[in-house]
Amino acid sequence: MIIHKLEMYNFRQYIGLQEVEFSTDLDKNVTVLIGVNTSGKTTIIRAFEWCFYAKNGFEDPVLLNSEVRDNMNVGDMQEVWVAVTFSHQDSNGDKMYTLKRKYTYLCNERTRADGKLFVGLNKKPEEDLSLTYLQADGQTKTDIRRENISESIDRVLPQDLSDYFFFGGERISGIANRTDLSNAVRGLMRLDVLENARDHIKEALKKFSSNIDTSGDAKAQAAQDSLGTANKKLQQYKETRDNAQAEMEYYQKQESEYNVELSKSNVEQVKKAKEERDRISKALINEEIRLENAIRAYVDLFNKRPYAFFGMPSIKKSLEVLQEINDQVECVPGMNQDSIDYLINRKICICGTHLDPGSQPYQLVMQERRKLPPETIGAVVMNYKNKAEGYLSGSESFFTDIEEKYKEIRGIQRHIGELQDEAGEKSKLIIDDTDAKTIENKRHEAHTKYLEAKSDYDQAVIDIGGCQRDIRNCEDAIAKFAKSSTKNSRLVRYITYVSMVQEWLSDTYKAKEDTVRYELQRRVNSNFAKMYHGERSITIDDKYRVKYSDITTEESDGLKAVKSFAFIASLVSMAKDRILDDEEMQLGQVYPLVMDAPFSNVDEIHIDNICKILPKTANQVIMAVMQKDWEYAAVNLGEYVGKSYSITKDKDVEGKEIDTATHIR
Amino acid sequence: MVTNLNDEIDEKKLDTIKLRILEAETDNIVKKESRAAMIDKIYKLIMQEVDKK
Repeated sequence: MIIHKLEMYNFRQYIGLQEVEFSTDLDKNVTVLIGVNTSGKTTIIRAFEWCFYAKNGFEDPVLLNSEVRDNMNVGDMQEVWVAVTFSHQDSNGDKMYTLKRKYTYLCNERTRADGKLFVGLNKKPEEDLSLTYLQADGQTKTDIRRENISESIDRVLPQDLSDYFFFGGERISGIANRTDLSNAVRGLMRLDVLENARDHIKEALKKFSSNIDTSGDAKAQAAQDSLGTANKKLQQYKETRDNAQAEMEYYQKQESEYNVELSKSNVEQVKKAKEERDRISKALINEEIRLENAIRAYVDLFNKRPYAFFGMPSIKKSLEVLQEINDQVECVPGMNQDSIDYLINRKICICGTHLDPGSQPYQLVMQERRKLPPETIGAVVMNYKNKAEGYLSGSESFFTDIEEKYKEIRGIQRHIGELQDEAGEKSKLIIDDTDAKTIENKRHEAHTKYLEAKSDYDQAVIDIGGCQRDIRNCEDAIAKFAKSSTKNSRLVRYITYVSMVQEWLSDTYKAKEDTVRYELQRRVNSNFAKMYHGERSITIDDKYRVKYSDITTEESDGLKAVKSFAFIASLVSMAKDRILDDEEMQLGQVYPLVMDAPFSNVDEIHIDNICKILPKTANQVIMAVMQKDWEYAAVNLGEYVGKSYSITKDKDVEGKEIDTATHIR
Repeated sequence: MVTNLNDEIDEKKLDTIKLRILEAETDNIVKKESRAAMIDKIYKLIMQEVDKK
């Protein structure tokens, strides 16, 4: 997106129509609007914000110029509007858009009391909003439906990031406390194109799948019905998970706020106990991680030989029993029943003894025969015994290992219990102080709520996993049936293609998101290092929030400005460099930086440093600056200025500036 | 979902589908259509491309 023109009509102190054309020259990409203090620089930024997002940041919400207002009579109507013309790229190249927001005010009162004039206007002026774009012929204008305008604008320039693009030096500190920038960053890097495609194709796949005729097969029909139920359940679980996550974040934030309050306590005992409790909390977190790892190792080990775990006691017992009957089943090694039968038929043993049926030698030989293979229990027992002993010797270390792991888990659990008790003791010390007592109770309550939310979150994650498994099973059952039916073969062919595109989209999205995260962190630190000469480094968390790696200390407004600027400069430069583009897809977009008094909290050295990287960061830089700051900034920025304007006020006959008649020239 | 992967996949066709979906989504960033309309658009687009001789 590149901004071409801003038009303001009777907007606040700007009387009549003001038109500002911005530089779109790539080499001279800076447009500067110079004015003295209170000249109306911030109003320009607010005009953009009102036009784009309907944000009205003025104390007096009436946007109509005061001079115009004072000249209205009852029943008169006056318009105030702001229009922004910008270009934005889609698959057919750049398109030119014009966004216009208009209020129509109606005068409903005009009175004069004590020499003072009062002109009353309708509290809710009629609003008109339009977004049009020029077709490829450069002539035909097409309107975007009214109900879609806000969302379209939010996708072109996300409102979540508007404070970064409309970079207000005087109100920069709030930026550092943003909650979640994931959607905004994804939108800016155009990852939302892939995200939306992934979402839509998933639904298209569902539609193809649901069209498969399963009426001929009861199992497939049942799977189709279960699929619908499982999908509904999945949605519910996801909502539960998201709610729990939001709650976790909320209570975690509350807890840390109470912690900060406690650390400010003047009572030495409270301070000390709080520090101790913090130390214990850290140790607790480490122990919980250790416990989790130990449980995982225990389960992994168990899964290697689960049958051994249950089978071993009975094998051991059986070997003991077998040992007792060992003598009874002992037989002549290497001999079998055939050998005995031969001797019986011969009627003479190998020692020469006669084996007459019924005689004692005959009975003894027959007794021996019963122990011999192939059919004796003795042979089977021996066999089992040999195998069982071999098996036992391979599993003995398994039992010892399992036992060791279990002991470790119990040990960690005991230590966690001790730490929790210790933390409780420290809490009691904190609550000896009356003020701190209330805060500590609130902190404790927030912590309990956090744990409850975490438990809900964990359960929801498990439920989601189960649901996804059910869905896969149902889909498999349906697909299996579909393949066997010629009637459905066409649908299966669509599904084959859709599944492949879906997989490609998921993989591509993940890879590109990783690139964004990595590159953002690298650039933020590089830009920060160019502007700030301290030791600090910055990390980007999972929600794209900017944090110091070593954060604990307070930061000045100047440092906050530098940090926020490093973030947005990096983001804009990533878009500018089109880091996600490749042969397959061109996602990149360009973005402007619109800045109001960007140097107001920054010293001269930092002004110098920021100005050196500014024109190279964004494709377009628009800044409203104070005359005195511009004197420093011009040294590095002057050569990049494509267009320059002065903000001036009309003067009355006595040469005094009129606050309600400002112009941009 | 398990699909009939034995079917012969036309790589060129697959690439065309990917490209056309991305084009439709990119255009929709500003001229936003409803979710249902986009799903339907993609649904039809896939049928059209797969059936193309």
